[in-house]
Amino acid sequence: MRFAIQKLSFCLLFGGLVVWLIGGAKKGFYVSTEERPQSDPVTEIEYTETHSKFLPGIESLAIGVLLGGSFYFGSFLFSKASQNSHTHAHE
Amino acid sequence: MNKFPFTLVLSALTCQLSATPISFDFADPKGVNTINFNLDAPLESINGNAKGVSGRVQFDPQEPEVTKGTIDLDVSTLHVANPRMKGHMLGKQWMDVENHPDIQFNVSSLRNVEKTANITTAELVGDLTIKGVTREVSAQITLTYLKGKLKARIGPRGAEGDLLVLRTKFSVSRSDFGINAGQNEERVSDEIEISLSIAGQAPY
Repeated sequence: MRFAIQKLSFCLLFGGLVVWLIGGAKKGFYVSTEERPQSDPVTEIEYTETHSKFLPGIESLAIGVLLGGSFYFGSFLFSKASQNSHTHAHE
Repeated sequence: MNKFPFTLVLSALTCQLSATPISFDFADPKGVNTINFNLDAPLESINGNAKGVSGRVQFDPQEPEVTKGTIDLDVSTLHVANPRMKGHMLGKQWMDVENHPDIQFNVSSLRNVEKTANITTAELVGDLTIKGVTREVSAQITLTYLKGKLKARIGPRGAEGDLLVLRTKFSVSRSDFGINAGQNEERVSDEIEISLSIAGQAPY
């Protein structure tokens, strides 16, 4: 049981890290829009157009670390399943 | 004696002497006019923009020194990419859009004017009003006068006319304008860098 929970905690930690990296490893929070640069040919003004796009931010890494850490340390509340089965085998 | 050429010269001279500034409207139907802002704090850099630009500027290509006018910004169009942050920014504690829906910049004067062809550079002096607080602001500005270019920009169905492009960059302190002064400075810097590139149109 403990080993299964620890595996899950590593998955959560790794998942949070991967989602954060996919989002561009930003220091800031998630964003729901993206700015795409444009140029007006006559005035030569450079401006941006806003488009909807979800990109995860630092909170995905934080959630991964928090959940992963909680599950990892929480796993010590459970006994080692493999040790139990080993003990039972000796009996 | 044919008085026609003399009359023509006289009327042209009169027109030149009594040339009135051209009034440019900065409400842009193309949605290009954008004001960008940046707050670079130790923990976070916040970038955003606003597209609700309007106002009028009176510009005389012969006498750019006498440029006057007002640029307005609809505060509700301030945009940052994080919706939660945007909600906070427009809320009572920060920009208080309900009670202060506009930011206004009144052009007082242009100093140290230098003119080359259709481009004028100068020091812009004006009054900036944010959240009901007015402060004098000065900044370097470039004015590009594009005579007869309106139709090329709007399209074949558009009116003939002129364009005026304003480009400037300056900084203000949010504490000067009572924008949540002294709070959260590790994440939201006190200094706000503002840059704008906007075009005004004057149909004939």
